[in-house]
Amino acid sequence: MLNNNRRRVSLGLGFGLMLIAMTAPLYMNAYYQSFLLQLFMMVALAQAWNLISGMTGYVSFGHTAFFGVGAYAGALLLLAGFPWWLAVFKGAGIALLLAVPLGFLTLRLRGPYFAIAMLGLNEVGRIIATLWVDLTRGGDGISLAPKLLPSLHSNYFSMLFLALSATLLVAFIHRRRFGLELRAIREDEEAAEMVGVNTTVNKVMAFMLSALIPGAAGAVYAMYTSYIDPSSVFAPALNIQMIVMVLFGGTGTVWGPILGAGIVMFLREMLWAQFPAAHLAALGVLLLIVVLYLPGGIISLFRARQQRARPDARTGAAP
Amino acid sequence: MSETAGASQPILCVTNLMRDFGGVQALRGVNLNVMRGSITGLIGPNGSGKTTLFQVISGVDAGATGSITFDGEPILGKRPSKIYHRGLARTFQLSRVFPELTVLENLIVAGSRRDHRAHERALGLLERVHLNDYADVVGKNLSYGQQKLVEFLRVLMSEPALILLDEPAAGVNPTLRETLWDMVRHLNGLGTTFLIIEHNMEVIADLCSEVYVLSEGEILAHGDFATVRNDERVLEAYFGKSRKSSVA
Repeated sequence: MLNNNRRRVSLGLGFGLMLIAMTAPLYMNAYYQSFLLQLFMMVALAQAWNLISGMTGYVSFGHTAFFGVGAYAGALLLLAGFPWWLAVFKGAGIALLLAVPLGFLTLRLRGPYFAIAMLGLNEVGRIIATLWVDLTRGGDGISLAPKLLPSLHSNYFSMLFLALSATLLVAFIHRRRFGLELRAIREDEEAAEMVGVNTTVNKVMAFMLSALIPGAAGAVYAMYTSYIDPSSVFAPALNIQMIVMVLFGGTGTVWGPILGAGIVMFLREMLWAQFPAAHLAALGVLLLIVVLYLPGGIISLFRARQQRARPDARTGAAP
Repeated sequence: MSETAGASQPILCVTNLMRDFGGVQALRGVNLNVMRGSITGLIGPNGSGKTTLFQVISGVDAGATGSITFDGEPILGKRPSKIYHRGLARTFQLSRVFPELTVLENLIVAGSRRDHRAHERALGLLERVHLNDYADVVGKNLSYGQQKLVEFLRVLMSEPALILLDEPAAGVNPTLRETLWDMVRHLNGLGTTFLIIEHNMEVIADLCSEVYVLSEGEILAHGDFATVRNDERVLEAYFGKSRKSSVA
């Protein structure tokens, strides 16, 4: 009964948010559309990070590597004459293909070793993009001529599509056997392997899917900003934002990254206008408070409320 | 004593198994056969290599040499998930339930992906040990004894031919312990083979048709419990040279 209610509330909320997002370009000016576009991008990226790090416990500090690869692939393909949507599609595909060998290599490592390896991977991407001048134009970056670029509306709906796809993907996986196996890996990888879970295949699959989304988002981002350089798309700060948003909202859940991205982006926009010098410090303090007092993220407040409503409130399934 | 009729063929053969950790030899040429349909005991003093042997057989520890065949197939060096799906499952000395998964999820994840009745089977197993009210409880909220029982039920989800139990009753209250041993007897009656590490000699005497004694990485003796109990080398390994005569 409570599960049905929860599903109805989730569906209703999702439908309402989608309706607002779909119709926003009709009544919002370019500033608000740009804000929402960036919000959708962060939701997509946070969900991608959530898929590998939230569900399997493998904390990645280098997911921006896939974002950077997607951005460069999208920009170069656009310059090569491909239509923008095909450039996005191929950018995502290249990120996914890259994730296969990288997943097999890095997912042998655990805990901080994996985190550091991923951080190094992002740095390798940034250095390659800087030094391979013939292809990437190095530190000068790539500028895309306006005539090649899709409209703001196209970019807006592309990012919305990515945010929606990433959320539906996480929700779908969460309800399937694959999601259960990923959560078992997060809880105790050795015990999961001992009860028949092929941990390597599961982790690499999750890693590939989690690379696909940043790859596509990177390509759309390149077209939205019309200029990319190594430090803007292989930016460790972007990875930190993904982590912050997921931690803020709730790790390993479907709604957590949406909630986290929404609150952090909104607060950042508000604080940035009010306290341009200190807004990041204020956000840092806020994150510290959430991590200390709500280790399950903001979503855990709703979960606790639901459990109080149950007579035998002993479960802990993620919403 | 368990029924041993028809248990003439070994289901598990361990031959000349060696494992060393940087010069410390944990297993020194271990030879062991577990007969199909039997309940076999593995005893030995602390640090004798019993859990290491389980780690190697189940594939967790891939650094051993020698040979292990299960149901006629070599399994040494195979990954644990493959060994599990071949029909060899194990439990751990200390409970390893998935703490944030519900009891039901703990069981379902251990079933086959192709098993469309995993949900019903998991509920059936829980009902059998009167834990069905706990199906939606997350693993970390169970008592330690309940966790050990859930871990045992978890390996039953794949209907394994051989189950390795590593001190399954340690830290479990007497009521749950009896439930556990009843389940072992019942499953053995249905044909499941067990290899059990246990320190309670009454249980070993009651359940096991054959007992292996491991000491300092070597099989010291094997046979039925009465034979093993009176073996001087076993008494010496357990109690030391000076006390063996008084204990015997």
